[in-house]
Amino acid sequence: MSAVTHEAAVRRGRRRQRQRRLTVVRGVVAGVMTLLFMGPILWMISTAFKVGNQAFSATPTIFFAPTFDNFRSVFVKSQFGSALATSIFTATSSTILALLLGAGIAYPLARRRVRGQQHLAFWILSLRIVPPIVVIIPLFLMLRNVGLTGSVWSLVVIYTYMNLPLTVWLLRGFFADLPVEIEEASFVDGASRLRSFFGITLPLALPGVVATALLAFIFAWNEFLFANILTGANTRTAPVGLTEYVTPVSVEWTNIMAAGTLVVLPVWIGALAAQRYLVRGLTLGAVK
Amino acid sequence: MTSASQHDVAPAAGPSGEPVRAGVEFHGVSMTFPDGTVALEHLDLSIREGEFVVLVGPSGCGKSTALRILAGLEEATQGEVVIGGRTVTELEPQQRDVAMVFQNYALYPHKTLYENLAYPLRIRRIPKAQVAQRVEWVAELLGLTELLGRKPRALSGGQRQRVAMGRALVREPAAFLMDEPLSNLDAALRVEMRAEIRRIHDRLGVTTVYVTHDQVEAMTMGDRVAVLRDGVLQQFDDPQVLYHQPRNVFVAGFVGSPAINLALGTVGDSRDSVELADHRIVLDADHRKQLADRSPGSPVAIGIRPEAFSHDRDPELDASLNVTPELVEKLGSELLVHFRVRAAPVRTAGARAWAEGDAETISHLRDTDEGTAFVARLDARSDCRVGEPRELFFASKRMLLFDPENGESLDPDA
Repeated sequence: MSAVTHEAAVRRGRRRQRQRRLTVVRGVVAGVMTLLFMGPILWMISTAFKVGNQAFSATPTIFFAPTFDNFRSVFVKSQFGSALATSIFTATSSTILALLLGAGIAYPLARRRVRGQQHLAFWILSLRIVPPIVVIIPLFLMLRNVGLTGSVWSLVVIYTYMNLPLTVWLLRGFFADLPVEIEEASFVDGASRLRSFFGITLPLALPGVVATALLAFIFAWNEFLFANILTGANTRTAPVGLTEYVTPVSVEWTNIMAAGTLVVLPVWIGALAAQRYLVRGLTLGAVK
Repeated sequence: MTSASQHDVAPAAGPSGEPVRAGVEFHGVSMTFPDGTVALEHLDLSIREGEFVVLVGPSGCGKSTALRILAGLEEATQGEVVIGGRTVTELEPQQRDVAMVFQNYALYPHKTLYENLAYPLRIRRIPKAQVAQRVEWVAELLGLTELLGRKPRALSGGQRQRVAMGRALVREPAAFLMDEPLSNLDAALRVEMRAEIRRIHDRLGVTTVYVTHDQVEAMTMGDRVAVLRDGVLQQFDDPQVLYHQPRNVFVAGFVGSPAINLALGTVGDSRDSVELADHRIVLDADHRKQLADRSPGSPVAIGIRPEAFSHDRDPELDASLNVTPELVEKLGSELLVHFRVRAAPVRTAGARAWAEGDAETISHLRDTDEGTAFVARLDARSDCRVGEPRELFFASKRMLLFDPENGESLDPDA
C-alpha cells in the first residue's frame, strides 16, 4: 500500500470517527430535549396512578404499586366520563364541519381566478388574529338570543367558526400544490368536477387534510374559555371538567392528574395514528 | 398470433360499437386573456378526419392555447370549435369526447397503472370484463403489460409517457390531443416515441392534433403542419410545401435546420436578376415574374437554404457566391460551413421572431457590419478550411424571394 492511499484511508477513518461522535452528541441533545418536554406529561401520568401522600412526598416516588382509585373516582363520583363524551362530540363534529366548509371555500380559492383573492385569503386569516376574549361577550349575547347558551351546539358552532380560517388557509395551500393538469386530465377523461374532486383531488390532498383535521381537532379539544362560559352543568367539556377538582376546601391533585391523562390520551392516539400523514402533510409543498 | 386477434377484436368491443372518427375545425377562434394578452387571433383551421396535424411555433405562439380550447379546458373569447361535425364551443371537456396527453403526463399518482388506464372507461360505466379487455389491449400495444400493478412513481419517464398515451388510447375518442408529449424525454427516446406515435396513429386512424415547438418533430410526424406566430396562423400545409414554398420569412426560417439564410439584395436593372453581395444572380422565368411589380434598384429579401449550396461546379448550379469560411463544423456525413455575406440582414418582425425563438437553428456567427451570417451544408468530401476563400454554387431556382418590408413571399403559389 502506498503512502498516499494509506494517508487517505487514515483521513477517511478520522472523518468517520468525527461523524460518529457527532451522531452521539445529537442523540444526547435530542434525548434531553425530549425528556424536558415529556417530563410534565410523564409526571402527570405517573401521579394519576398514585395515592395522595405518594404524590406529595418530598422525594418523588418512582417505583410504586399503581392504583386505579383516581380513575374510579373521576368516572364514578364526578362523572368526568360525560364531560369527555361532550368533548369528543363537540371536537369531532366541529372538525368535520370546519373541514367540509373549509374545503368548499379553499378549493375554489386555490383553483379559480378570483379577483382580489389575496385580500380575501388574508381577511380569512385575520379572523384568527383577534384574541377570542374580545368576541366572547358579543358572542354570548348572540347565542343567548337564539337560545343556544348551555347547549353543546353553541360550542360546535363556535369551534367550527374558530377553526374555519385555519382549515381554509391550510387546505388552500394543499390544493394549490396539486398540479392542475391532473384534474384537467380527469375532466378530459370524462369525470365530472365533483367526481374528480372526490376521486382525484381529495385522495391526493389526504395528507394535508389529515394534518388539518388533527390541528382543528386539537384546538377544539383544548379550548377552555368559550367552553367555560357557554356550557351548563350538564354540558361541560373535559377541560372545564378539570376545574371541578379545585374546590374551596382542597385541590384534588391525583384526580386532576387522572382526568388530565384521560384528556391527553385521545389526541395522543390520534396523532400517533396519523403520524405518517402528519409529517407528509405539514411538509407538503415545502419540498417538491 | 393471439396479439393480432386481440387487436382486431378490441376496437369493436369499445364503448361506441364502431370506431368514431371525426375531423376538427376552428372557425375564427380568438383568445384574449383577462390581462389583455392576445393568445390567438382569428384562427381558422380545418382538420380532416383521421389526419395527423401538428401545431408548431415558438413558445407563446398560441399553439397550446388552441389545443386547450379544443379540449374545453380554456374558453375562447370568440369563434367556434367543431369536432366531428358537432359544435362543441359551449361544451365542458367531459362532453367533448376527446382524449388528451399532457406534457407532464398528469397520471393519477395514487392509482396503479391498471387503474390509471381503466379510469376513463370506469367513468363511462363500461362493464368490468370489457374494461379489462381494453386495458390489456392497450397495455400490450404499448408494452406495459408487466407493469400494470405498479404506481406511476415506480415507472421511468419513458414508461410514464406510455401510460399517458395509453390512457388516451384506451377509449375511442373523436380526437387525440397531444400537448408536447415528448418534451420531457431524452433525445433517443424522443425519436423512438415519435415513430411509435406515428405508427399507432396510422393503425388506429383517429384524428390527432399534436402540439410541439420542435420543427423536426412537426415535419416528421405531421400529415399537415400549422405554423403559428404570436397567435396568428402563418401557414397550414404539407411539410414539403412548408419547406419549399414558405409563405413568409418566418415560416421559411422556422422550418428546416440549420435555418434558411436570409439577406437583403437588390432588384437588377431589367428585373431579370438580383444583386446579392456584389454577385449578380440571373433569374429564371418564374422568379422574374415574382419581381414584376418591383422597381429596379429596390431591395428584396433573398432566402437560400443551407442545403442548396454545393462546392462542385455543375451546369444545374447556375449561381455562385465567393465566400471565406469563418467556421467549419464537421458532422461526419456533412460539413456546416459558416461565413458572412456582404449584405444587410432581413429585419422584418417575422425574421427576427424565429431567430430569437430558436437559438439552436441559427448560425453560430452574428450579423455584423461585415455582413449577414450564412451557413452552407456541404458534402463531407468538400475540403473547406477556415480562412481559405471558396466559390460555393447553388441553383438560382432554389432561391426564395420575399418582400423586404413585410416578409411575405413574392411567389404567388406560396
